[in-house]
Amino acid sequence: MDLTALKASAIQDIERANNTQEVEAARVKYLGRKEGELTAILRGLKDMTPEEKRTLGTAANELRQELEALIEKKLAAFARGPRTRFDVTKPGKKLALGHAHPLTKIDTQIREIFSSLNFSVVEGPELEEERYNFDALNIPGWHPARDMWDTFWVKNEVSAKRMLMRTHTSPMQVRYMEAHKAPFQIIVPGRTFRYEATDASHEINFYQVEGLVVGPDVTLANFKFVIEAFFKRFFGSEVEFRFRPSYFPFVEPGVEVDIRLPGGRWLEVMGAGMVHRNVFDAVKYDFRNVQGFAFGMGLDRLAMIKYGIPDIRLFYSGDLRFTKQF
Amino acid sequence: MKFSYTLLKQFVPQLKSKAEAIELLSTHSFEAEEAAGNTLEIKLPANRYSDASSHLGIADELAAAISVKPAYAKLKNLPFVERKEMPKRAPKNFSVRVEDAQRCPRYSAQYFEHVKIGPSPKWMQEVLTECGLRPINNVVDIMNYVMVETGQPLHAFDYDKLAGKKKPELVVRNAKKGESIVSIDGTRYRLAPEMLVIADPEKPLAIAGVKGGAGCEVTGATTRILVEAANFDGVSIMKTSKKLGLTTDASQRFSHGIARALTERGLNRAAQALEKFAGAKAGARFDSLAKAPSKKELAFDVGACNRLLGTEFTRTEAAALLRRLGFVNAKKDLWKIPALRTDIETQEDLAEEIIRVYGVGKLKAVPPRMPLAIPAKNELVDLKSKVRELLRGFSFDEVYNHTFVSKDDISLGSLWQGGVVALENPVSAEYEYLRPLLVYAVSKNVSDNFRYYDAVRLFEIGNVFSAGAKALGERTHLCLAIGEKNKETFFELKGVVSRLLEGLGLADHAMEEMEPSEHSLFRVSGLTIKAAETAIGYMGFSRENVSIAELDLGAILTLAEGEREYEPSSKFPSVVRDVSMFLSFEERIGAVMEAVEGVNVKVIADVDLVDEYADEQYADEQSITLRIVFRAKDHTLTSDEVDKEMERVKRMLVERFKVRLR
Repeated sequence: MDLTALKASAIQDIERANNTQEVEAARVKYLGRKEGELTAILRGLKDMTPEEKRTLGTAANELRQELEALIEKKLAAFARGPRTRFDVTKPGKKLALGHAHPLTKIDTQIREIFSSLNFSVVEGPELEEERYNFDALNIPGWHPARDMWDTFWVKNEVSAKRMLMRTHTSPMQVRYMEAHKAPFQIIVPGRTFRYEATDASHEINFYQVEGLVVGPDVTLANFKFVIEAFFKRFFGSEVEFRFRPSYFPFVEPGVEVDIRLPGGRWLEVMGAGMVHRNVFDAVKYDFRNVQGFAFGMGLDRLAMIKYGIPDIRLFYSGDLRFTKQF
Repeated sequence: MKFSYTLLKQFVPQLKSKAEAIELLSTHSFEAEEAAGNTLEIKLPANRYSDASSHLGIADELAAAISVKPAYAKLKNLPFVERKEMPKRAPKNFSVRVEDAQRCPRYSAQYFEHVKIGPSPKWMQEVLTECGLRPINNVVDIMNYVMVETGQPLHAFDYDKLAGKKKPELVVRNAKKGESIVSIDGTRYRLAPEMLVIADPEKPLAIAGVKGGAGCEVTGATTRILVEAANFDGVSIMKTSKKLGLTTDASQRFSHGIARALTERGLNRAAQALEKFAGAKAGARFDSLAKAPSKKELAFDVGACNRLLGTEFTRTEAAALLRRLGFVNAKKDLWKIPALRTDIETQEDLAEEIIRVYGVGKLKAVPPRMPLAIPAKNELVDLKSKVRELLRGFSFDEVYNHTFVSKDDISLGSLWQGGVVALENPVSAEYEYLRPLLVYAVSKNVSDNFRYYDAVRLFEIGNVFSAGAKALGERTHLCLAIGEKNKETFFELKGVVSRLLEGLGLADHAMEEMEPSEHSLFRVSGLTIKAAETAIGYMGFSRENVSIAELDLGAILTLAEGEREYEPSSKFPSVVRDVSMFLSFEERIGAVMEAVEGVNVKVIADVDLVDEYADEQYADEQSITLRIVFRAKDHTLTSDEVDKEMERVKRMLVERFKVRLR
């Protein structure tokens, strides 16, 4: 029997087998040790010429391997049994879970880190009195530094108080100290406002986190420790720091903190300093007995750095294609 | 403010590059930035204009940072030497009268003759150009150069154009009512009485500290000049500058307050330059200040400094750092403050000087000693987190909107009491009012997102504002909305609101139907959400298939209960019975269910709506099926007992609601 015909017939017999017995029968028919048809050809090789051995022998051996593989596959299929109609590989149901706004996520992370450092979280009003936003923070009327904060003034037709949308979270320093005794450590996250034209990095409302630590012996070196600990946790331990002198009327000395992430540029992220004696005066603390540090950072900016968001206006767009990414 | 690196490099020859200067200033003084050419852009802090709005001041900072002495005297074109005070004379050929010494604490002026107008030297023009100033002629350029070099603004009047009886008479006075002035560049400014002017007996010559007027300026024909170096009160100049909408190099410096000592330095330098570059001969000088301003001294305690900074400087180390910035030790711990450093007033100011010259970056981080107290709880903060957590579970996405809304928004009406609060200075009509509700923006969010999604569930937590009788008020609200393009959403939202309130500890709440007139905002129908007889929120449709609820989180906080107490589960089985009926649309299903529960609260554990059907063939009626769960706390209910209760329920339904039982 010629090898081509034998191959065709063997493959057909194996494929058509309906159970393991039929597969076994086909195996015996072609590969059986005694009467297998292919076995007979292989046995006959020894009587052939070297030329025939080379051509026919190679082909016959290849066919044997092919048939053995086919039989094995067929047997494995019978062993597994038929596939059920329950296809577990179909995609899972798309259950919806809501998405927190990225600023909420950043805010939560910041709160968690500072809570673990034993800070309390407090909040204050967004519609604020001029006194808390400026005067009590050593920025009296017509102080040239007021130009640092472009202010939204609010029409107040019901009382004599001059009201504004707070330009920073710092007014809570004053409100908190008026109501509490040192020592304490707090953070104040919240929405703040600046009267300015909006663009990719400026918004008329945005978020800040204020920090205030006051006690008998709180130092600028302590500030450095706390803030480095915070940023290392927030951005990872590879973050680098740069502390520079800066000016805010409610602190002295004043500093500014820049950070750099691996492969990145220096970025301004925080203004800070030791609480000014005039602020302690305004809240009736005796500056000879207490000292403390205060800091403020922009939440939007931190979120933009952390998530690679290019435009601050996205935060306030109400666009769910944005929120759903977080 | 723009500075010339060319000039700074002459003062501090050790500087290697502009980049180095920028780096040194940023690390030790204040922010500086790269600008085109040989210009540096320096962001001066508001309290440093007195000493640092000048190249001399910036050179001092740079020299201190690298611990060298500035080479003022070696300046090749015009060596800087601090001259001794010139003898004061009552000038014969002009007079000055200062009417308000409060607002003009010092007025110095000097007469010069034989002035030859021409171009200024090239090096001077270069420096001015690098500072963003346009060279004009030698006299004007010298005024500007001396200003950028010393920080003292100067002004030159053409002597021959000044009026007076026998000699030019200058007066520093308030502007008269209705007075106006045309500036050098031809703009007319109307002056208000609180503005200070320099005038002669006939007319105002200049807006003090802001800008000179036309008519007495230096021209090509000028030969005799009067140079003014004055000091004005910062607030007064700032008000004038703001009111006129006119900011100049001079007004910027004066607004921030500069030292009175500067006028002398400015005039001396101007005299030196006018002699050298305009062939001028200096004449008499006037000074309104009889005595030189007294030198300020401050005690410095290195221990207190270390306690504030957390450092360990020795007395000697601290002293060396102070000396680098020009502080002079008077005796023991007493230090003389450089005359121009008006910002130095306290011990902490000196500590700042020390740490910034030393390098804030080199400060060692030290762990603080903090009291270990459990942080105080802020209930509203916690409530907001809880709301977010629950709503996320109900698959709501969070949005943040602007605090400000438009007139169109608020014209939709409000739900809570109180007037609307407006901004004095809105950026645009779109953002004119403080939002009294979140619902306007949230409802817009839904329709905006319908462009990309068929179903939208979103919420916002934010502060809202209203005017009360005596004060402006602020509350924290929650607004949540469900919108589906092809599906009614109201009852889903109603369910969410109920579960949310339960989750917040307010299981005991009611939702009452509002009369249509009460809620123009919710056009179809709405509910008032109440707890303890107080309205805590509202819900309704803003449009078809968009349902919105707004809740006052502050009110919820005051009404919410604490942790629940355990109640044993009933040991006895419950029996479920359904009752179907036709009910008029005039009746409310909510009222029917409430009435069923009320038939016998001891054994009726729950009532639920399991089926409702309305069809034209039933006309004004709908078919509903209620499922009633019966359970007693103390025994297993018998079938007889349940039958009896069912009879009572049916009777009540027929009598009270006129239902037709099916």
